[in-house]
Amino acid sequence: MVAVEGSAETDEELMRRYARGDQTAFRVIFERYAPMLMRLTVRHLRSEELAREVVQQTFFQLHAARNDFRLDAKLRPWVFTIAMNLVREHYRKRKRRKETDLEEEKEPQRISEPNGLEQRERVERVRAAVATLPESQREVVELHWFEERPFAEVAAILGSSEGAVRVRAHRAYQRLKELLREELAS
Amino acid sequence: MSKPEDDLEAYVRGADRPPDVDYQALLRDVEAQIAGAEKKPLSWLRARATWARRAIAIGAAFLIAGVVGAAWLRSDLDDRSLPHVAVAIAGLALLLSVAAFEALRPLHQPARAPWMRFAIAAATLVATCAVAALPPMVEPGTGPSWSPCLFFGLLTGLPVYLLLRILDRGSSSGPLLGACAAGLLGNLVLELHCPSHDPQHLMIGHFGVAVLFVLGLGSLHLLLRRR
Repeated sequence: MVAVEGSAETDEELMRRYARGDQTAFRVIFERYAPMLMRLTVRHLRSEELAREVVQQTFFQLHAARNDFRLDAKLRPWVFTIAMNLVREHYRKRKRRKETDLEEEKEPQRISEPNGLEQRERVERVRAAVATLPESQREVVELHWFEERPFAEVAAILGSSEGAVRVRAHRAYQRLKELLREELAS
Repeated sequence: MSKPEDDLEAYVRGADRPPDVDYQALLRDVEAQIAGAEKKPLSWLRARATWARRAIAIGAAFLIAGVVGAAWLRSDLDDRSLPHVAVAIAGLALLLSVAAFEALRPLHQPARAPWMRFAIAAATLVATCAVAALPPMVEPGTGPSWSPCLFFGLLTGLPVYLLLRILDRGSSSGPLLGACAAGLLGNLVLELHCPSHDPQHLMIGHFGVAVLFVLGLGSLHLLLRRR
């Protein structure tokens, strides 16, 4: 991990310091957010290489937007919104390429797996189940469940109403339970 | 419902593991990318707050239109044509503001649905076509050649297109909406300047500006992005 002096400052205070030109604040923000963003993007993209690119772009965009950061804003939804926009853009590009390009796309690089056969199988089953969800539901599951973000924040990140996000989450969890019924019973 | 059910929760928790990444190297890459971008000329413009970037782009567009209007205002404005021209100019100006505003949407705000950018592009073509197809109710006559207007419209739209590209931080809608804003500005300037009521002149010399910007540049960007 990046060796940066620990800081008790809030993310927002750090971002304001960075906007004023303090480079060390950026490093602390990176230290706090990079692992979170890698987890989020790897789950979406299923490739550490692609996820790394998206995380790099997320921090680059955060730097570019530093003068937009308002006094009353929260940093976490900001960062997550940038990352999710970049992930969506990746999906759109991939879809366009598939529509026009007859060449077979390279299989995404496998991400590092946890040890243990049972654990690996479990990871695969969960990934397969989550992958069958529509994109709109998958985004909600990733943020609400895996990243433990409250519905209000998920709604802000995705640009939807809280009610719509709750409905999508409910449907997604029902679907996941159906898909993983046998595993859950055992 | 606030949490997934416990059995599903426990099952998935066991499968969740953070990826193994060299974060030092990643930070170095980010900082190198930032340093590279900072060296580029005019990068400070892109780093302005979004309200300032939008004000610069929309202000520049209206400055160009204002200069043309003040220096070369069309000569046929009278009681019959003035309301028609005013409505056309107001409509084009409103659509131009929307296109430029959305072209600079920052990435920390949730992206608009993809159909929105195509809706703005369609509205640009419909509005400019309508202005060309429905001139003021005066006697049509043989107008001047359409080529100077086509050239003038492209020439006035291009600076705003380039400015929007400079100010853009990499949004996916930026290129197409920038082309829309340029096409609209070209038509706005021609509406202020050109007194022709000749249908062929208006369709080729005026509407052609929007078509070339939106369909020409739009297609070019689409092709480049697919590569």
